[in-house]
Amino acid sequence: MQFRFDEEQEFFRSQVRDTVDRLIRPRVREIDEKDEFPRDLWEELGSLGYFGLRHEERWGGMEADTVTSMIFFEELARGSAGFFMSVTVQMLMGTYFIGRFGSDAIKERVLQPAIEGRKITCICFTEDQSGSDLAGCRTTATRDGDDWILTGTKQWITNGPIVDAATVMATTDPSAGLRGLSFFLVEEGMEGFAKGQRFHKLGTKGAPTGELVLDHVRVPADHHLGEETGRGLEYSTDILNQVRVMTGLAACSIADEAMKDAAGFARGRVAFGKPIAKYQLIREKFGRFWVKYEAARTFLYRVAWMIDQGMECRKEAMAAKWLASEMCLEAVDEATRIYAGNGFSMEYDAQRYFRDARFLLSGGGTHEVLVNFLGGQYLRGVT
Amino acid sequence: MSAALVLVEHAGGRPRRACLEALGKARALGFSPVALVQGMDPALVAPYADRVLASTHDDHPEAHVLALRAAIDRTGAALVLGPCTLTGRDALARAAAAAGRSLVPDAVRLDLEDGAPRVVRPVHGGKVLARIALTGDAPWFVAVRGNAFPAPDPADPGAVEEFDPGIDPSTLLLKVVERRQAATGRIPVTEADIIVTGGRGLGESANFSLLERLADRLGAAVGASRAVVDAGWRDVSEQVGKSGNTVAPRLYVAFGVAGAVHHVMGMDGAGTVVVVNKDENALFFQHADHGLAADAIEVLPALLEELGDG
Amino acid sequence: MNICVLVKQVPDHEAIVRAAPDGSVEVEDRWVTNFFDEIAIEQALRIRDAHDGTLTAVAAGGARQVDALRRALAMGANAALHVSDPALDSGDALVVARALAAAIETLSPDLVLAGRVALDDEMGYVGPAVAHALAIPHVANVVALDVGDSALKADRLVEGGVETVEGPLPALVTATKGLCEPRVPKVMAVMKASRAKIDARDLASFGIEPPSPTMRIDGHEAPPSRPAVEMIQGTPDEQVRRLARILLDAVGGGS
Repeated sequence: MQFRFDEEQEFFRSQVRDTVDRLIRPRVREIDEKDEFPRDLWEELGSLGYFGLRHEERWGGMEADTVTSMIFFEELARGSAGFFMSVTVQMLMGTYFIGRFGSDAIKERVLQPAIEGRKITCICFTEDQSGSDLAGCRTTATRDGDDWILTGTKQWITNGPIVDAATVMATTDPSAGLRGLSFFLVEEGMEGFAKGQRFHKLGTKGAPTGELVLDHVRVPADHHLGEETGRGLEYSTDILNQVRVMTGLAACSIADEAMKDAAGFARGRVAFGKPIAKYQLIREKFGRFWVKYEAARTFLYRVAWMIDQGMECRKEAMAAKWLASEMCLEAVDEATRIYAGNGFSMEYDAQRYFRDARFLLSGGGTHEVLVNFLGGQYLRGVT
Repeated sequence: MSAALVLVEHAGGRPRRACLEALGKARALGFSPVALVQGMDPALVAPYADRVLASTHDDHPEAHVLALRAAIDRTGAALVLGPCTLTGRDALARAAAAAGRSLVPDAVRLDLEDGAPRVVRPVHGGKVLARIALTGDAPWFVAVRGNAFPAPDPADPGAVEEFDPGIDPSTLLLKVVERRQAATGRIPVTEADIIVTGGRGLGESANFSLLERLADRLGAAVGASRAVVDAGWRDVSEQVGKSGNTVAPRLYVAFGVAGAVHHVMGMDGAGTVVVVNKDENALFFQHADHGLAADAIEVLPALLEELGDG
Repeated sequence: MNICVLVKQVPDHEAIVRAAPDGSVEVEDRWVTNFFDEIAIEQALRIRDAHDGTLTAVAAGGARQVDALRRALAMGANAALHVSDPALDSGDALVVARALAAAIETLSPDLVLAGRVALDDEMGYVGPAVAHALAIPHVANVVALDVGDSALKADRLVEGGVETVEGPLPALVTATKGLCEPRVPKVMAVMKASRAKIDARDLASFGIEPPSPTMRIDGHEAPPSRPAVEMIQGTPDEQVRRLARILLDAVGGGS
C-alpha cells in the first residue's frame, strides 16, 4: 500500500502550482469583480498544453492518468474558482465524449482546437425541471433519416454563453426513462441552436453560465456520441466519478486557501493584548478543519486511484465528494468568523471563498440525493 | 595591532555612510582601520581612519578587485570590510575568492571571539538571523549593512598616502563602455537616508507627484512597491523588495503599501518605519513603528500643507 | 556554443521560516526555483537558441536541488548535472563555489549564467567565486545582455545607475530582475522533466578534494521585534499634525 505521491507527481504538482501562482493568482480578484471570462488566460493555458492532459497524443494530448489529472485540478482550484469551472468543464466534460466517441473528422474540427484552447466546449445535463433526476430530461432527439432533430432547453450551462461545441444529453425515447438517454454534439452556427439568457451567480464569477436553446436543431448521424443510443446514463457514470473527485478536490483547495488566508489574519490581528491565533476557540477552528481536510483529501485520491485501477467506485466518489464539500462549506464559514467584522467586508478574500464554495452543492447531484442514496446502500449491506 | 582594510566607496564624491560605520566598527573591535578609496578626496575619509590609501586605479569592476587584493597584501589586513552595495559586495566576493575565503555579507552584528569574527546576519529575507563564525586563517571578509553600526565621530585625520595597486592593464578583460544615471533622475533609493514609498493605495500613477513633493520636502528618495512597478507606474530602479532593492534608511515611510512579505524583505532593516494605509489590518502595521489607518490619497496633500510645502 | 546555468531550489518567499530553540532553522515545506535563477535560465535558453548551442543546468546540494534541475529541463535546458556531496552540507560558500566550478569545468562552457543571489542564504558569492575559480571575467547584476560568438556586452546595475561593459567569452554573468521574463513551461515538457533520470555526482568524481571550510553556521535566532506599532489617533487634522511631527523628528530637527 503506497499512500504517497511519487517524485514525478510531486514535481508535476509543484510546476502546476507555480503556473497557477504566476498566471492566475494575480487576476483572481479582478475575475471575480468584473465577472468577465478571461479569454487571454484561457488561451495561455491552452498554449501550455494543459487542456489535453487526458486526451490521446494523436490529438495533442498527454494521456495522463486520473491521479495526475486530479493533481492538476486540485492546484488549479487554488486560483480563480470561476476560471476553474470553465477549464474543468472543458477538460472533463465538454471534450470527454468527443474524445471517446467522436469521428476523426469531428476530432479534427472540434477536439484538436479545443485542446489548443481555440474552441470552447460545454456539457448540458440540467434543465428547468430536472437536475439530479436525469430521467426527467425533456430534451428530445428524434430520428429523421440519418440525422437527429434535437429540441429542448438546457439551463445552468457553464461556458454556455461562449460555447463553440456543446455535448447535449437528450432522450431518444421519453417512455424509457433512464434507458432512453444519449449524448449529441451540437455546434455553434447550427440552425436552431441559440444562446439564451445568462445567469448571474453568487460565486464562481468569470465562468459565463447560461441557457442553451435547441429548436429543431438538425445534426448528422456522427454527432450522436456513443456506441448506441440509450446508454447515456452508463456513460454519464464514467465521468461523474471523475467529476465528483474533481469537485471534492476543488472543495479541498478552496477550504485550504480560505483557512490559510484566515491564519495569516489571525496571526496578526491583536485583540485584548495578543494575536487571536493564540486563543483556544480560534485554534480549535484550524484544528478541526485540518483533520477533516486531510481525511477528505485522502479519500478523494483513493477514489482517483480506484478509477485508474478500473475499480467500481461510484459510491466512494459520491461519499468523498460529499465529505469534502461539507468540510469546505464549514471551513469558509469559519474563515469569515475568524475575520469577525471584516468577514463581512468585500475588501477581504474571505467573502469570495464563502460565495464560491456554494457551487460545490450544485455539481454531480445534490447532497440530499447523495446521502439518501448512500444511506440506502448501507442499509442494504452493499457499501 | 592588526589592520582592518575597509573598502570605502563614494556617492557623488562623498564617502558612503556604511563605509564610515565600518571604519568605526573596525576600530571598536581593536583593529587599526585602513581605508581604501578611489575617485574621491581622501581627506573626507581621513578623520575616520588611521591610514588612507588613495588608490590610483580607475573606476572599473576588475580594477576594484585587483586594487583590493593589492591593498590587502600591502597592509597585511586580517579583516577586510566593505559596504553591501551592488558594487561593493561584488568586488569583495571576488577578492575573497581570490584569497581562498568566503565573503559574509549583510552583517548587522560583528564581534570577535577567540580572535576571529563572529557575524550575525539576516537570511531568508530577514525572517531569521544567522550566526556565522569565520574559521580558518585571516584575512576574513565581511560586508556590513548600512545603519547597523554607529557612525563614528571624526577624530584626528589618519595619514593619507597615494597607493598604486600595480595593475597590469593587459589583465583587465572587461571594458567599461558607458555609465548612465537611473531613469528617474532623483536620489536613488539605494543612496538615501530617507525613503518615501508608494504603493497601489495611491490609486493612480499621477498621485505619485504628491509623493515626489514630499520626497523633495524631506530630502528623500522615492520608493515603489512591486505592484506599481509591474503596473508601469514607476521605474524598477525605485522598487523596494525581494526582486528590487534592499534598503536600510534611517526613515522609511510607506503610503498605500500593503506590506507583503516580498516588500518587507527589502526594508526591514530601516531605522524608523511609518506606515499610512487605509486598511487598519494591513500587514505592514506589524512591521511599523508608527501607523496611520487613513487613506494615503487624502493624507498626502494635508501632510504637505502641514509641512509647509503648500 | 556551450552554456551552463547555475540553479538552486530555495524556500518560497512566503514560506514560514523560524529559528528553533536549538538554533536550527525550521522551514515550511514550500520550495521553488530561486527567482533570479529562473531569469538566468530563461536568458540562457534564448542565447542557446540564438547560437544553436547546448544548455546544461548545474546544481549543488542535496536531493531537493534536483527539482531546480527539473525546472530548468522543463523550461528547455538540454541536460542537467547534480553535484551532491556531504562536504556541501555545511553551507560553506567557498566549498559550494569550488564544487560548482569543478563540475562546470568538465563542460567547457563559453558562457555561465547564474542568479545574482539565492534568496535563502543571500550570500551572493557563488557567481564571482565560480568565475574566479574558472579564471574568467564576470559581470554581476545584469539587466541587459548581448552575446556574440566570442564576446559579450552587458548592462550591469550599479548604485543609482547602469554601467555598460564589454568583454570576451568565456565569461560568467549573474542575472537580476529586468533582464528577461522567465517562460512558463509547457505541460509536456513538465511531464518529461518529471521523469528525467538525473544522476548525482560527488566531488571525488570530479577529481577534487573538498576545500577546508572557511565559515561555520553556529545557529539562528529570531530577528529583534519592533515594539508594537503606535497607531496615530485623533481627528484627521490631529492625525496629520502628529504624522508631520513624527517625520520631522525622524529627519532630524524642525523644518
